[in-house]
Amino acid sequence: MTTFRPHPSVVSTEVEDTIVLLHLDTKRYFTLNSTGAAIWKHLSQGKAEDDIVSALTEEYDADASRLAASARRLLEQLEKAALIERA
Amino acid sequence: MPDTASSNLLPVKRLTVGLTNLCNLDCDYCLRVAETEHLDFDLLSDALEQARDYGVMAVTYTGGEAILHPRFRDVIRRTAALGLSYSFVTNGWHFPKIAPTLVETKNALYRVFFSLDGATEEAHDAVRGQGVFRKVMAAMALCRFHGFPFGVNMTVTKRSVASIEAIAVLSARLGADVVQLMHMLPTSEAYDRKLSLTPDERRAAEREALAVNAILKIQVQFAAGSSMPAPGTPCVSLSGETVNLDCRGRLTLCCTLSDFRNAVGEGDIVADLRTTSFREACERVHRLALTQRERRNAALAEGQLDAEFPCHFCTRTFDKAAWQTPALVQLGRATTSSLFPATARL
Repeated sequence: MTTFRPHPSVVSTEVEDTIVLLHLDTKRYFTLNSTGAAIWKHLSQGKAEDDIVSALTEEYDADASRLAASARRLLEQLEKAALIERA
Repeated sequence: MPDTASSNLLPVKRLTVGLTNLCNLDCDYCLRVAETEHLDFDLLSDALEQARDYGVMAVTYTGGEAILHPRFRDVIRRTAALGLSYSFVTNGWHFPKIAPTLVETKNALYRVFFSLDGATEEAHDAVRGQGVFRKVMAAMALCRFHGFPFGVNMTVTKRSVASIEAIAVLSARLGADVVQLMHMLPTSEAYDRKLSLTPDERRAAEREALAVNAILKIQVQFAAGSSMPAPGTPCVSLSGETVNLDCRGRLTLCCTLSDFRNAVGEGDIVADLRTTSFREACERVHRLALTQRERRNAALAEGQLDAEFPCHFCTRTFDKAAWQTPALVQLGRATTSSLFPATARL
């Protein structure tokens, strides 16, 4: 089971249902939409990927496999941008 | 009002307002008194209207931490409603709380100025406390998200002088459009010894800022108080263009001199806006600005060393740097009522 955590050089701040991220090393800004923000909050709480998908299934009226695929895609992007790292 | 044509005085266009002297941080070099005085909202509201009618177009809110004024949101809304543009200085800690009000009043927002003391988390937090760097970075991220223009202020000390370039590059990469530098004005002998630059070091810092400014696409400049060895009009306050309202409701010559820590003199305070109209108070400020300009020009002619640096000159001549004459120790602050007795009311 893979667990990620925010990269230590990332600062995050909430704006309504979105999250703005700033990587202090690259000085690049990112925004997460509401689904992305939900995933970010869960991984910030130390949840593993499977637990994040379970939580999303409870929060969103969507197919579990689609949510799992969306979560996987976002986690890959976040990891690629060094916004998260494996715990 | 003095004859602006013959005196080169400019009409008052900008008002700086010390909203509060309360701050959540405790930076060692800070020149403000650490108290809990907030500017009365009704007085400010009236002053803003009078200022607008007098020709003021822009207001800059300072502190303390301006956001900690209990009615900061109302202050911003009132400023915008009067058609004035506004900016404010903040350490960023409480910025997320007021961001929605900035969205509401975005058309009137000229710029947010964030105070930085270093280009790294370690350097900034060493001065301001743990976690402050991340807070101010998050605040800048919010500015970026909402499209708020923002700049960076840095007080240049022995500790920070080597990081002028790094601060400028950081600011540029974060999306700031200006970096404003200020020489530290010492509030005690100990801080003077520990943090003040010598005049030569100050001049070198100014050359460094000019060099960085020439390279980067954002403005990097000493905002006030930089070397001005020739007689003339060294700053917006002595030009008459800017006047300051302090958190006790008094119009003063300059925000830098206002509520100065360990000060004795209050000669920069010209009028209480509870009893004096904004117009009359501005006319008094203009007279004082002219007098101070003449005093500085005379000091330059005599070769007085600190006359070259206007803020240093004004802090000394207005008895703000009382530690330089240790025989005189401030025991208490004069109250507004004792400075402006009832008989002086209009």
